[in-house]
Amino acid sequence: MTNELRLSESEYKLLKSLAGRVHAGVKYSVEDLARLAGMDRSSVEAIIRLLSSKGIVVVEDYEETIYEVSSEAEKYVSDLFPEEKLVKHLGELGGRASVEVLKEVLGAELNIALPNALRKGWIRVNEGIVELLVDPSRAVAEERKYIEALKKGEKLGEDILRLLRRRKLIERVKRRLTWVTFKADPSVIVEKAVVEIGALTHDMLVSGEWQRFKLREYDITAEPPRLRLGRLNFFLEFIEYIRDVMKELGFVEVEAPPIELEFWNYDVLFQPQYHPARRPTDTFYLENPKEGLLPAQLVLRVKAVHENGAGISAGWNYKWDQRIAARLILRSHTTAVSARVLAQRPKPPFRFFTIGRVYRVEKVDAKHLPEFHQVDGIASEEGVDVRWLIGFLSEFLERLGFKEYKFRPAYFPFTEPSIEGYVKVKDVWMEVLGAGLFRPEVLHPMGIDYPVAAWGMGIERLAMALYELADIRMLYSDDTKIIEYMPVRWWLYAGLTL
Amino acid sequence: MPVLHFKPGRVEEVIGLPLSHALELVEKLKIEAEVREDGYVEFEIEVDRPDMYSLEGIARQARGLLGKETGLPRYEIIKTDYVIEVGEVPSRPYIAGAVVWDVDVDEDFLEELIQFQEKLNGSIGGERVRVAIGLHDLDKVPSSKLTYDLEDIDRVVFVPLGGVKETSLREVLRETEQGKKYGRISLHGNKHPVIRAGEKVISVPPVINAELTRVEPGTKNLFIDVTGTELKPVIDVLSILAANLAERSRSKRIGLVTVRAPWGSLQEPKLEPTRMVIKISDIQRVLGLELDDQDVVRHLERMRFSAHSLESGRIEVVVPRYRIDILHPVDIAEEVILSIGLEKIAPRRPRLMLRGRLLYTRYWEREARKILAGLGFVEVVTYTLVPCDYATLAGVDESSVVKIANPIGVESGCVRMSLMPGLLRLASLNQHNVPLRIFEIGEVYLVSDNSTQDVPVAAKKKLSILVMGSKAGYEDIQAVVYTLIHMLGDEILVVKKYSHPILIGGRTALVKTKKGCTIVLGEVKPETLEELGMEYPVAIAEIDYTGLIEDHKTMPRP
Repeated sequence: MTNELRLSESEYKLLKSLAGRVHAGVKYSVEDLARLAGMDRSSVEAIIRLLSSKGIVVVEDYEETIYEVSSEAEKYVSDLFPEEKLVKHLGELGGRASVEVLKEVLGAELNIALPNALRKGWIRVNEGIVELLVDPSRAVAEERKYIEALKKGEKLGEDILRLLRRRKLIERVKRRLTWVTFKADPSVIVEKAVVEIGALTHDMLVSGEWQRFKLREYDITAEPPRLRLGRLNFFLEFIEYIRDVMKELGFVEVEAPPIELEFWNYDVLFQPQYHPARRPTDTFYLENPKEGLLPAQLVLRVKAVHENGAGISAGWNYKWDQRIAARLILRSHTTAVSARVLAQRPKPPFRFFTIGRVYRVEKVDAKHLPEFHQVDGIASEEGVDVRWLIGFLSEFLERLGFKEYKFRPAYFPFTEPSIEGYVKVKDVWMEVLGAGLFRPEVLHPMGIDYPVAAWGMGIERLAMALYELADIRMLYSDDTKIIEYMPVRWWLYAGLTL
Repeated sequence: MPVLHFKPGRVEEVIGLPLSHALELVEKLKIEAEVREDGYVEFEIEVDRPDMYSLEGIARQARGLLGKETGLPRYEIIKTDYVIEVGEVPSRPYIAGAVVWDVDVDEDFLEELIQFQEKLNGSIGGERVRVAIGLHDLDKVPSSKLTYDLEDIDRVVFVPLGGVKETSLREVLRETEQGKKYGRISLHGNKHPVIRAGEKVISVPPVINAELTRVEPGTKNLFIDVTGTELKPVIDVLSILAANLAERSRSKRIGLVTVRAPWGSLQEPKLEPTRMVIKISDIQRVLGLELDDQDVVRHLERMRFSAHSLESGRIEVVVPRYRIDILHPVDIAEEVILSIGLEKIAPRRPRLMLRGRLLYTRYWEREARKILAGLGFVEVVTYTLVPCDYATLAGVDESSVVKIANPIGVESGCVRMSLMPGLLRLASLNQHNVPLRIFEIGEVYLVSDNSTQDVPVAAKKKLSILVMGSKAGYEDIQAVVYTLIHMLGDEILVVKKYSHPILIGGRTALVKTKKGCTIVLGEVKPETLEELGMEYPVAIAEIDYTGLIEDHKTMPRP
């Protein structure tokens, strides 16, 4: 032990409340101390043990045997002992009575009364007849005297104790006694001790009491509890990040509802009406509402370009049906939004983007959902061509944080040339985007005579890869704990490690 | 995208390169190639190139890239006395035929031939609705005089392919696997199209051929029939088949088949190429590369076109008949890219500076989200496809709900009309996580009869907030909503009593703000909670901030 005496808050509190009431060198029972401190016995005892381990008090434990008066004895003392009852009744019966008669009066108690009265020489029994030998008024059981003495705390002889125990008038119990001796007056200890506390409080700071306290050391390696928190959704934060990248690249955001005419989703984009994607196995059709209105002028030009190429193309050579184009669907790609923007013939230079949900008829599993998000962009300016497109896509992917990417030629009905973009995520090449220059068959009916680049990217698969999720449904988790505790991958947004 | 598989040995044999080189080379043709675990080579081919649905078609392009064989492929096309007399077949009017000699079918090729036929049927064929193909052993076709007509299905009796005994067409349609799958496509009352050679049935398109003309290992020469509902794709498919089969033929001989029909007569497959005049400057403008006419001609020859320079920077390109994907000069530009190799084209980064901008409402959303997270709320994302009965929870009339005709299940039969049902469902699933504070931002859609809109649906922008706990009442949600509105620099203008089917009367309010938000907030009825299996009280709000948009007309709206 060092010279410095350290006390916990509770030890300090007990000592402080005993100061002046308790003195060094005197033995106190724990009960005494509890009473003096105005605290409950068990907490005082616990604190005393701690003080003892610090050498502030000496604790002596004893085990003491004591006798407690039984409830039966209490009853006899306040009324009559069975043998007293017996002689009283005998007296009333004229000094003689048969055992049978007495049994009727005393009941089961007669079995106790008879042997004790006999032992004391108060009666005798002859051939079933009990005879009184003493004056009933003077027949007092000496046990009454012993019990009362015991209750007063007087010591009794071994023989008497044995007698009382045999008659079950007393019970022997063991009691633990704790004696506490302070080595110094509590007032002195309190004065010189340093108090260790768990937490600084407002009161301590206000009273200045903090000066006598020392903040206890923590087990700094112990795990703290996990806190509940408010959280922005990690998946939406990823989408917000893509929005920021688009904005940074000079794109203006646009949007349109996902309930769309087939016209804008397919026909304007030169996807023939017999195309396999335009079937209920791939596209969601609506039952309510079923159809919408087509833009009158554009419809005729789109019809012409499908049917015969409108003088600029070979066309698809089939009978284009306006009723099919007017049907309502859930859009299958956000290029439908880009098509609507283009139909307004924006003046170049322009860059527009949209992020929204798209829908495909897919059964839900770990890799597929019938709805997911896409980002789609269109741009036109002086010199938009394939080299520009690859240059732009490289810039986009690099700003998203991808160091390794590649492009391959591809096919989409509405762009030519068409390109697919791949990125390397953790050593795996992933196809992430489709791009191209809009076909003249798309632009011409809208009256656009400048080149327009377009590209689109699915967001879920990328988010899964970057967040290392094996199941796409995790992005739409209905367990709020998952959302709450999904660590933010902020370094993705710093564009450093992909 | 069509996926084809081939034996690796066949890939090496037909393309004429070791496998790894061959796989590398086909990548230049927009083909994704990989070797499967069972050893087969798998090619994923873009849908615009049905002429590459067979190895011979791929090899034809590969030889061009390798410089082994460039320019337009040559086939010997000769007349035959095969004639198809066509009757009135309203359910499937068009037919054309072809003969290809010296194809020499063996076991491997038979497998590839069936795959080729299936992929064509499945893609441009529209699962045999638009176009269907019949392949026959020419030497087994009993007569060069063929007929194509509607016939009574009870009067047509033949042995179907794979069968052993003569069966009526009715039975074939009813009993065979092919009949069940394709039997209704061209059925016309009690009648069905039938092709006969002489008196013998050789095919009942688009269902099945007769056993009589079965193609098998050892078959030397092929007769092809193609039927359909439109003439162009019928001739397209016939031309692709004939040209690709001729690639395998030693003699490269193709025979013309005459068709005499009510809609006209023809002799195909002539494989007449189309001519297209393109400007070098157009190619340059698409590619962003400086190319002279000799470069362009060379690249196009490698891609198996024939090309020659005309005066004043123009080139005439001769497009083989099987290249049905070439619709416009821009498609020729792509061919030049494929020949050069996309990876060899240097990117040019955009230099122009333009000012980006997000939607006006995006900035409101971003601030609202931050404030709510600060108030201890967790942001959730739910699906927009929801059960239709969410309408009841949303207090929306069912006729206003956007309903899907072909949903994948009852859980996703409608488009969400409110965010509240989804949040309630989420809360019911998170009762182990009480107290719960969640919110969601998203659009909801309601049918609207506003006739000025091309799509009769109104999109509403919503923010819904939910609190659930041992105690959660009106004041709990009210405090959140008011704090949020004030922190967003808005003001509460009107507060009215409101009635909503799932919210407790007298504890439900309709609030309007100065900037145009409309808010419904209240305590959820215990009946509703019980129905949803919820044991904790819930208070909920839904803010409609669509009105914010009206403030700001400068955004381009598609």
